[in-house]
Amino acid sequence: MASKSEHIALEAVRYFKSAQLSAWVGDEQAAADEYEKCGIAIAHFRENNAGNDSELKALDEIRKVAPRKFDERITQVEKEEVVTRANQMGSMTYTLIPLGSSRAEFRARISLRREPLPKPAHTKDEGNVFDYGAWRWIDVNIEGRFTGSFLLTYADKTVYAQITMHDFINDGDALDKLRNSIARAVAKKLQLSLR
Amino acid sequence: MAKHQFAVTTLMGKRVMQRWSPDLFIDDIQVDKAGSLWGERQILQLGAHLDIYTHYRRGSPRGIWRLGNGLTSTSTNTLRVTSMLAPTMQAARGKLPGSSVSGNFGEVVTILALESRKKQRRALQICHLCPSPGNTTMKCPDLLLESDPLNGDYAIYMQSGSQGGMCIKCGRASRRPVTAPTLPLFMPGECKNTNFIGALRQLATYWQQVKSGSPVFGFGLISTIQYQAPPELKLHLIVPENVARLNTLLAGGAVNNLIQTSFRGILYGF
Repeated sequence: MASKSEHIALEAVRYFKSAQLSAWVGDEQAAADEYEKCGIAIAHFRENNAGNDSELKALDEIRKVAPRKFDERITQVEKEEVVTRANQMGSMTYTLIPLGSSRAEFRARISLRREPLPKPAHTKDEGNVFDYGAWRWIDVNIEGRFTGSFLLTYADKTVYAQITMHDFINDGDALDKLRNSIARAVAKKLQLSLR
Repeated sequence: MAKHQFAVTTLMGKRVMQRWSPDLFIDDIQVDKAGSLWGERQILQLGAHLDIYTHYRRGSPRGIWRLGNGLTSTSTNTLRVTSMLAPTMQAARGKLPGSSVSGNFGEVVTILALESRKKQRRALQICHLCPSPGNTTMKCPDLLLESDPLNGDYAIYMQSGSQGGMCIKCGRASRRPVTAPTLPLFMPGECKNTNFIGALRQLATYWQQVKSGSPVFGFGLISTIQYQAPPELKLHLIVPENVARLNTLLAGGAVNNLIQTSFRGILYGF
């Protein structure tokens, strides 16, 4: 059984990982808060383990310089506006990163404290597969003007998708609309509340 | 959907501990996502790369990726006869895998493999390491990772030798201790395609930095990957056998001169 110190160490790394995921979905504030909590846990650990803290000493150094936001890049659409802002829909934090004029990467993190994420009913549909702790589906969304290959990973409650747009997108409004369409489609698929 | 089946073997140093059953099954979109989240380099759609690289074969007509504008043998001969083409050179026939791309397969597949061993599919606690500002020339392991997914194989291996066994290959008495050292919660990890000794030196640099009082001194994980068919992942657990001798070895300074036999009797399985 892990000691109290080991629990504190695990907590520090858990916050570190959570901060990484927040940064991955573009939630800069949450990432900063979680790196801060990671630092508090490390300080707590070091108070009780003077001289025996080198595992977390390295993590503390990395925590200070780790990026709070990822992927400040891409397309002619206003990059700062589009990419660095995380969006919220119910329990889902998400972002859409354009990769050129007709493709994009969708990332989301779902924070459900109590209820488990849904699993798909058994299906022979090859575009809708559940195995190895993940659920993959393909959504050809005529209304939302996109086609996406989605992956829900249960271990870290993240959704990743490769999106091909049905129209070339070169302005922020169209991208906003697309981002929301994808998020709504994911929420519907996973039966998440939109509020 | 492109599925990949990796045979995964855990080793104590260089000696086999366990062959995982079942094999690790992953698909391209899982690799895409892990590459997006964890890949050290910015490679888009890493899974698609793994899919085609797996079937690459140098010189094989089936696996080779043709280069455009190739020369026919007749035109090559003409160029050679007219001294337009250097005698020691020939027209390139195929494209090569990008090493900066394939270098990401190891860490991504290692993370997916370790994650598959987490109880109740909990997320693996892991973070990438890089040299801190002012130490950019230092060789640094890729990851600081949780040891939990390897505890099962480690315990079985150590217990099997604690009764006083004998190595079936060399006949020497087993060096496994009656009381195996406990794995630390986290340890440094380095992922390579083939360069095992390079990875070991990087871990040695880490141990030099943290010094012998650290709970991770002498511990680590080296993963090596063969991504071309048949895909194979080897997870080498590194555990100190003699901390005092390791300390003396590293005090010598020049980590880059160390070879595998330098660690014999110092780390298990060498």
